[in-house]
Amino acid sequence: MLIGRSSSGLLHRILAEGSVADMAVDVSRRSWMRSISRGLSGVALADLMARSPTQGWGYAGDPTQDGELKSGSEARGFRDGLHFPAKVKRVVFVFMHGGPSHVDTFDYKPELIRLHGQPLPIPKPRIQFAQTGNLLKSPWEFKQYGESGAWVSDLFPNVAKHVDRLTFIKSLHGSNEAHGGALLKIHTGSDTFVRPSMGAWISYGLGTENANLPSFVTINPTLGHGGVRNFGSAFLPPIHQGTRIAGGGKDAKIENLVPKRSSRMQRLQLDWMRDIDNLHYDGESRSLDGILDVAVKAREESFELAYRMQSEALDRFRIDDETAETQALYGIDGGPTDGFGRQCLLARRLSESGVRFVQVSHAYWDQHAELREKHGELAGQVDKPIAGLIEDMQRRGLFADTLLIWGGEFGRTPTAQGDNGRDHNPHAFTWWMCGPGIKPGFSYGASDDFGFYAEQDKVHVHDLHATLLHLLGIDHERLTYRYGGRDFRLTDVHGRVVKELFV
Amino acid sequence: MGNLCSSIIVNERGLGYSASPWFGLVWRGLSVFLGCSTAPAQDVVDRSPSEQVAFFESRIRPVLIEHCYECHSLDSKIIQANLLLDSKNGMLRGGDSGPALVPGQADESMLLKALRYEDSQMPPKGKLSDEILRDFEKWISEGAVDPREESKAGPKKAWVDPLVAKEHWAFQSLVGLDSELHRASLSSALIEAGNSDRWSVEPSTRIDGFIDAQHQRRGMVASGEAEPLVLLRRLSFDLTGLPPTPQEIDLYLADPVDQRYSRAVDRLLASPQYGVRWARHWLDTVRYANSNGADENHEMPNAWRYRDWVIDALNEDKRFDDFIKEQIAGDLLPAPDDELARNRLITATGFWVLGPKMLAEQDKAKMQIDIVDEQIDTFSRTMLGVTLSCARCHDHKFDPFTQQDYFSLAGILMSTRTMADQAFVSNWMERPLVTKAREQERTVHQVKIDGASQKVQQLFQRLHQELVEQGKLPALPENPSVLIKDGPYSDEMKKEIEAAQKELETLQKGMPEFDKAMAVEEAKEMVDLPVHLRGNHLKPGVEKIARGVPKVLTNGLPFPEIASNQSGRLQLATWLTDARHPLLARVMVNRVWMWHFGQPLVASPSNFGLKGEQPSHPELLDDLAMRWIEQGWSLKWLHREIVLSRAYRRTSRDARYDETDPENRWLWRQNSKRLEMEPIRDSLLACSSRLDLHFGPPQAKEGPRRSVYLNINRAALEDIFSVFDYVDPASHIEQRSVTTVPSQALFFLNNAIVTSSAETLASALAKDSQDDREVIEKGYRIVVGRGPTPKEVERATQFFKMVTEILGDSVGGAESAVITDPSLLRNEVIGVFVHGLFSAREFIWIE
Repeated sequence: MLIGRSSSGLLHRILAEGSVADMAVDVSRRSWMRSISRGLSGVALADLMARSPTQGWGYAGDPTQDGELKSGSEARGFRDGLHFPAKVKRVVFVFMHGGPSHVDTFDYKPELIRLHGQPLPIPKPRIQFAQTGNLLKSPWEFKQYGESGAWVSDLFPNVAKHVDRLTFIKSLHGSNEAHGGALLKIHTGSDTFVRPSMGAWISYGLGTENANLPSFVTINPTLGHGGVRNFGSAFLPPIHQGTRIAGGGKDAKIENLVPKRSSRMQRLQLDWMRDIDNLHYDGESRSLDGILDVAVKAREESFELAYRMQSEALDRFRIDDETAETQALYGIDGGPTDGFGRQCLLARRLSESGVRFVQVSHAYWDQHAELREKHGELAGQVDKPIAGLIEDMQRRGLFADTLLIWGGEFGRTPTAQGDNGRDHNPHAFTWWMCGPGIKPGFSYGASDDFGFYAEQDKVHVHDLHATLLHLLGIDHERLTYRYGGRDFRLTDVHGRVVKELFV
Repeated sequence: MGNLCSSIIVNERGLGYSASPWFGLVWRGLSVFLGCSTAPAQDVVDRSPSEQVAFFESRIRPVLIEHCYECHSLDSKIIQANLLLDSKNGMLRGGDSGPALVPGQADESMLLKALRYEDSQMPPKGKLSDEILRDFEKWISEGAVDPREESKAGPKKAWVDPLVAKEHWAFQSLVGLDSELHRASLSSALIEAGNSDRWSVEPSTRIDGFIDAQHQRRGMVASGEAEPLVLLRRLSFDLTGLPPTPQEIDLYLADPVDQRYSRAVDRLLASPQYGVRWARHWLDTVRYANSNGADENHEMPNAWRYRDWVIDALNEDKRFDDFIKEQIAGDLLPAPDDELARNRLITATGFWVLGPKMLAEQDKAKMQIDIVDEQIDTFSRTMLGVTLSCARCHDHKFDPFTQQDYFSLAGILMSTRTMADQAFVSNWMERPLVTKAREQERTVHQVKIDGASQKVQQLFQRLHQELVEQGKLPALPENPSVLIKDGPYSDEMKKEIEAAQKELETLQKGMPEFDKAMAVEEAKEMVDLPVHLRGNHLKPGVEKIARGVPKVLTNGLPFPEIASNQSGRLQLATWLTDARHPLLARVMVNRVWMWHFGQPLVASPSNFGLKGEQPSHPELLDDLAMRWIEQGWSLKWLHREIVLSRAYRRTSRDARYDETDPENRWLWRQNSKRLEMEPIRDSLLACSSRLDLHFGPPQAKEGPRRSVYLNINRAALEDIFSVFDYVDPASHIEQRSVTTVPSQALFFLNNAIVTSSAETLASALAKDSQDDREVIEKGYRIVVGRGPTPKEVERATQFFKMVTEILGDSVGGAESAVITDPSLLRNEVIGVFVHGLFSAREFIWIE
């Protein structure tokens, strides 16, 4: 659905009529020009381009077969996985902004009960965000659930019912103790430099599955702590940046999506616009070059696509179309779970329609004080919707090729701030995943007895990214983009695929 | 066992990074085998030399090969930290951190510390077993017997061949002793451009000589001149970012044919809108924005002063060398008497401060060096046209820039103060812009404050006197003019006190502040930085690197001496703007060319390094750069030179060499260019007569101003920016991307700025036109800068009829309400017509 600057810069270059970029590959341009004259429509071509970076435009789809755009999800069928077969085709990332406490949710630490109120017997880190005092036991009780016997606190009673489907990573660690840095680290792999976000990398690597929808959508993202950079494309072609859905509840909206005129008038206007272009570029006295022809057609198709997107995307927003039972599953009942429930359901609808990477964000889990009250309130808003999302995805068979991920930018210290708060802790935190290719009811890695540092089988944020890409059929060392004289990767020069998670 | 060892030695040389994996496996097998065969060896104390060698061969060398050579041998793809562990001397000599081992002193040896994961952690993939650590400890304690000799080849210091690097075209001085020679060689590439009657302006320029020479060599015949109104539209957008108005079009057509083009060039270059247009180009390169972005998105309330400084500098055609010099070290240049001029020099250094910073990073040393890194990245790509920041963690892989080079420049910036403090969430530097007038205001105000303060003191004296008289105080306090805490004041007294204090406070708060600009100053202490091993600030090397610039760029242009109380910024400015500098003029001429032609002569405009692209017309680039310098670095001269060339004036409507030169590398035609977001928005507003052309600070918000004045919030960039490919205001942009995506179509279909522009223009057209034909004529002229062809009039007329029928009649169906009021109907019909014109490709693609 999108026309952009491919890694070779070629198509972009042509469409831009010689405007930009490194012209790395010169070989196939002419053959490509010929294929265009054989009648490949601008969009099929654009669609193809948006998909593949490394295959670039060596992608061997048969352009002459059909110049028609397949609408909606029919456009699937692109070879999944870039470097090897993919277990996962798309991702839903439920992001808890602010840093939910791992020791109060999924990482049970009985030592905190025993040593409550006593000093931390191991050294604190060199750099801390704030000073903390003595150890603080969790205000919540933990119980074991399911056959796997996973410990979950009373904050997540509904998610707890699904533990046998989940894969926990309890030894995650990052490198930045402030929200902004940690968010950027999680989302872009760098808390130092401007880098593309993981959704953008995945879009760049795999492209879109549904030509009428963006390949990367982020629902209700924060605009603080890195803001757009967390779903930006940085130096990748701009088409890969996340499309922001502001709000995400009843007020969900994408900029410029709501038609200003009736469908009929729009149709008339589009025809008129096409005539203006055709009369101008195809006038008797004017020569028409091949490049211009393609460019004019491609632009025309982008308008046709936009015209269709208005209805398809808006249709995806209509969550009231879902049955009452499904809505109830997500807690869409006007109560505290209503807002996040709607966002989760919207995420499922978009993902199901072929959006490659959907992120849903929930805020603000930053309890330096009022841990008991606020963590309780926040968990109350998300526990049921997330459990509903798991259940719904399971019922619809989406876990056959969709990965669900839950986590925040860091965890929290086992030591107390005041008597009812915890500080940021990038040294250990817990995420869980659910989906194909990974072991269900499994827990990997461990933090120390207090939950301060990741200790056993440590998984760095880079490792997490490498693993995620691997599941999507991408070798994180080979998904690169040349910019400013060197090749860049989501994982920089790091990253270990945590194969121990795999089935 | 002896046999085994010798075979190992033979093989060792061949074992590089690229050795096949099975070799490593075989090795592992061997070492296990050998390990078993010699254990337990720990108890042996005095061993013969041959036994010690055997111990090295069986227990030490295999480990080194398996775990260390990948990064620390001559065969390594990249020698990390300049440390070689594949010879005895290499180990003793050590790398950036010093010697790897001290024979006999295991605990003092860096190698063992690293293996123990104490200071550093080696090998990075995982700590080796305790058994291996014990072996190393023992080996070093016993004198580190090591039979390995250093290869004659010596350590490979750089990845880049220094000779190739030295001769790289972009590193050659432009002007020097051999400049005559250089000029002569340039001229040999020049031909007399052919004359033709088809051209409205004569003669062809020197630029065309170089371009035509390539055509001649390739047997090409370039295309002719574009149509007059196409040229005017192209020129208007290129120089001012605005479409020509209908009046300007009329004037142009009325002007004498042989003079109108150059007159238009003069008029547009003299327009202050020129500065607005070209400042935006420059702002792209220096990552200008109005908020920090990064972790804490604080507003940068004074960033606009830098922006306006750029606009003013371009409008007054400030010499480009001064333009650069002032941004690098304006605060260090001789202070002019004029206070405003002095303040402008301070404002210019905002260049260094505008970058995104991790303000809440709690490792403040890291924050500091990351800021320096961001500055180096922006500075080197913008002004040097090289990617120096690659050399932070290791020597540059493609260019002759070493880590030492990087840290020599980093030292200059570390000796420059960019941050005001190191607070929890730190603040960047802002410097007061002192003016006499404001100083006077402050003095006057201070007198008022002093007066009020005196009044308060007098009040206390009086009250205390009264209290003593009333017997509520035994005696006057030691200092009778200050408040006694919990003193026995009556309620009435308290009221009086409160009123007097409030008056004083109000005055104090009302002290007129100096305006402030984001700017740098010299740091309190000047520092030479050591190399940071692998770019890690916690691992400084031993040797301090003298401040300066990359060595390879100082061939023929030595870097000036830095006094001990100077950061080196002034020297950096002087050195960079020296006419002999190989890069600055070339890089900028190439950018200006790109902004005029849509494509640069060097296709990698911010990378003139070894991996950068070769110039398509090297002689032209050098010739233009040399003449530009001779013309006093005048940008307006450069624009004029370029836009008067035939190459610039050619039509873009030509396909004759699309098969052989699809990129138009040889400039046989002009390129058509997609407008950036700013001129798209500006022309929508201009076409509907709503654009407010005011200049100056954000306070001058009178209406919809030119897009350069829009607030650029790094963390919440407005959609209109990103939809049209202005995506990331946090780093240097070498060239805006151009995409064609549905979100742009959605913008044209539904965005309020488009629909309201259409409505406004429609009602104006409805009011000022007699009939549909006039509406069509005027509409085309305003929106796309030309009159419609007869066919276009015909089709537009049909369209009017169709829309009128649908909107004015129930035939339109239930979807939209029927419009019965004839004047409303006409507005609506014209609105759809104009909306279509705005969405047309021609509106945003300039031929």
